[in-house]
Amino acid sequence: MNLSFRIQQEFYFLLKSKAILGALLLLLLVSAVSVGLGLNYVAKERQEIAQLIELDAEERAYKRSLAYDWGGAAYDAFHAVWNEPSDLTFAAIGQRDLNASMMRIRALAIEGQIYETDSVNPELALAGRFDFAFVAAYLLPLVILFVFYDLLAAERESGRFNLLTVTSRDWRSLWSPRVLLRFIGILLAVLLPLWIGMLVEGTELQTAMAATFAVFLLVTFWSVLALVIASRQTLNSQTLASVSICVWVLLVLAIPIAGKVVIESSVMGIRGADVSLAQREAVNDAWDLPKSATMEPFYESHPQWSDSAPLAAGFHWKWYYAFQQVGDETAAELAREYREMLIARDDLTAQVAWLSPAVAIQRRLESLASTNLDAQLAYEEKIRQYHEQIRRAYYPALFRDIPFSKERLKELSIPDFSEL
Amino acid sequence: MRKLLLIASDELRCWRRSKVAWTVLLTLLLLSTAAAVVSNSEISRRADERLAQQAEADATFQAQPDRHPHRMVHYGHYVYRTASPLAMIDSGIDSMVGTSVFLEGHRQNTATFAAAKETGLLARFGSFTPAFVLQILAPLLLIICGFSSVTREKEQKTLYQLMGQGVSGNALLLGKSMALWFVALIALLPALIVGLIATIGNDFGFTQSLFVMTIGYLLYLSIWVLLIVSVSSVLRTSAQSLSALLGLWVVAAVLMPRIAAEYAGAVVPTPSQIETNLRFAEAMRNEGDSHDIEDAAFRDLRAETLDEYGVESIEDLPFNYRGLVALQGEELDTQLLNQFAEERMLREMEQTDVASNFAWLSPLISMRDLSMSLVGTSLQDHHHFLRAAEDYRYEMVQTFNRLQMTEMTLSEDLARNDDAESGQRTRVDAAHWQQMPEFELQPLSHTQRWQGASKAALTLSSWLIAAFLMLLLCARRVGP
Repeated sequence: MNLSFRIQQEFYFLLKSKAILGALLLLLLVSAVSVGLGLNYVAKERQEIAQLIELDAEERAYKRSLAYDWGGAAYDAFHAVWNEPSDLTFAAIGQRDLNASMMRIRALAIEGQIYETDSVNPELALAGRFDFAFVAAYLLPLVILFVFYDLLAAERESGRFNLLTVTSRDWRSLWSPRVLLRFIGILLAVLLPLWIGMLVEGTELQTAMAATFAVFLLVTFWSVLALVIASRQTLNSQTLASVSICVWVLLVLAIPIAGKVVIESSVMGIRGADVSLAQREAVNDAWDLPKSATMEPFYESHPQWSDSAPLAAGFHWKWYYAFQQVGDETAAELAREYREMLIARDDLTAQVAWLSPAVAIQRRLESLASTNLDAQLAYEEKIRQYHEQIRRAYYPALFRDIPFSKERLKELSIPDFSEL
Repeated sequence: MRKLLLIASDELRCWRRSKVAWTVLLTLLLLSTAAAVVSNSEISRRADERLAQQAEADATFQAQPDRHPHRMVHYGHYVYRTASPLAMIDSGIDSMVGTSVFLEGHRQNTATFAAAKETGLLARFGSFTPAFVLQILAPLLLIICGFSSVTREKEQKTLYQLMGQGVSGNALLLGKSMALWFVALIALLPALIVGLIATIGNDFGFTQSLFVMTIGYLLYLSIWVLLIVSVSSVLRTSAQSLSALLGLWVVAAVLMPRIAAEYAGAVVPTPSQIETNLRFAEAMRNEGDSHDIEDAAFRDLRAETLDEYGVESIEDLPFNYRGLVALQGEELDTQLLNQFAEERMLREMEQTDVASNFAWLSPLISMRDLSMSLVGTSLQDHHHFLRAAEDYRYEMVQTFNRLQMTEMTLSEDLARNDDAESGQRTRVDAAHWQQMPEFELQPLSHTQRWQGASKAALTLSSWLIAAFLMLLLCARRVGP
């Protein structure tokens, strides 16, 4: 019996085995559905962003047409920021649906703006998304376990096992073609739709290869595990199935949930609400304090404006924007601690990933798709930088007391978020 | 009846001999208890945290010095959402929605800082609550216990003996179901006990809800029991029965909830928050700026007010006209804001309604909806919180605006920025903020919660009837 004959033979068996073939087709189907939904999600988001940019410019132009002083112009001028989906976002949407992928910010204190959320229907969010990462984490292992769990037991229970073992030349040539063929079938079923999605999105080759490799490792891991279970010769097929499903529950449901309990109760640190509370207190206290209490620390951290004309009694916009800035500076430390808390939780999640392949594949795909915490924090950092630009654009007019005119306002141009 | 009990006890005796069934039973009891305990401590920790935060926010609010009332409108207030006392049984949407809302004049802010965002990736894997154990894991463990309940008799050729002794198909299948049902009861107990402890001394009918919910879980697990025994009776081998049941479970418990959510999101799209804000800004263009009494939008108000009081100019009015404009402006803003907010909430309810139609395909979805609604952690409860927060916001802002109207004259108000002394004159005694009632979220009543759950109750009952009929149908085919 040569190898190519054996493979042909196994291929024939595979086509004849309705259960295995059905499982592979089902995998192909759910993978395709998940990719389709992901592509749809990304397309919708891009369209929303394009629409936002247009509406945003129009609204800003309108507000500018009403402006009659610098401070008021800055107060009313919101600028769109957005988080463009990456070329792999369709495969792992991650926390994108909870985080606001679009926002409008203005020159006021950023800590009061950056935590705004998009309103999502929590009941739909609770279920989670049907994306490729979900298929890979949850369903793929089930199919693998199903395909392999009774590899030996089925033959034994049908009474062919001994005959096969006795007549075949060696153990390897008997089982490896079957295992190999099923393994390839699984890989193709799960990866083909992903590859098509990548072609549609024009995913960078390196990202595409990394994602493919991650899925390959995942399939290998579960296949080996399934074969280890299947090779327990003393167990009958239904016990093997029970054991398989328990292993799945443990690795895919129990460990992540236990990890979540540990993470939520061990890393508490600063609460998000504290950051915005601190910022608000600083900003509001300033109204009641003497103006020098705001201006002195402000001029100290921004010496380039310290020669600005002294403030008279009453309201002045430069004082207003100075205490917005001081408010941010007061809350900066808390905001940093808040981010550190998030990072600490993410680091612990990475530890959980060592115990659960479901967490591991999701983390890997989200990292490649730029939908993980790092990407979110980088986006927030970019918003902060852009906000700084907006703020600084108005400072010359405010602190040099340049008389306001519509023409001068027109000259004050702030680049788009995309140009940052 | 005696025959049923005999068959049930025989089935239990069979499990007692097999290690698998014992492990399953023990796991179920352990998980169910652990979930109740862990979830209890987690939810009470969260509740304490929010209570502390609310107390802190209230304290800072009340500690504000004498101020111009409009300053307080912009200073605003924070309110926190308190979780339902039964959230430990089913945390529902609790971690998905923001815990606090910043309330201020002229704006409705979204609820921010959802726990799920702070937990990251793992938040979507579910919560370790009794609801998770009962909805997802218990059916799986019931499958492992019961997939071979009838196929085993076929494989060991004992089925014909039984039939020969005059055991009818009905008696056989119902007896097997009773044995499995016993396992389901054991799984339910820890949740019920924890729930009872949590609801003692609580009004708002949570005890009632708890009982209705427990009945719901009984129905749900019974559906699975009947399905398992039916499938086991129609298929030839235990292996087939197990594969079929596991397949059913994957579809019902893992696939369907996500498919339902994706479908609902696609069929009833909601605009993003930013789009709503922009549309709101556009609608506001005609509304005028209530900070500016000369704004054209308030011309009618001025004429009417002057007419009503029979005076020539706003300076002659017996109150501060700026306060009246602020009052009127906030009212108009709020009308428009509420219109947008209600539209959004309506959309979300529609989405949830569409998703709940998938309950006809998976009993898990009806159970989930029923459980969340009765426990008080559903979308309905979140909307209730948002509305309560908005009512509080409006009352607070209008109280400040009325203070601005009555506690100073127009000329004093207009001169407030001239010098320190004029500023002092427009400041209102801090006692006014100290007297402001604190935000207290009254949960929905049992009747309201039950209304939210009624559709799920209907689908769940239909499932039970269908499963029972199916069992009877299968019973006729059992035997020679």
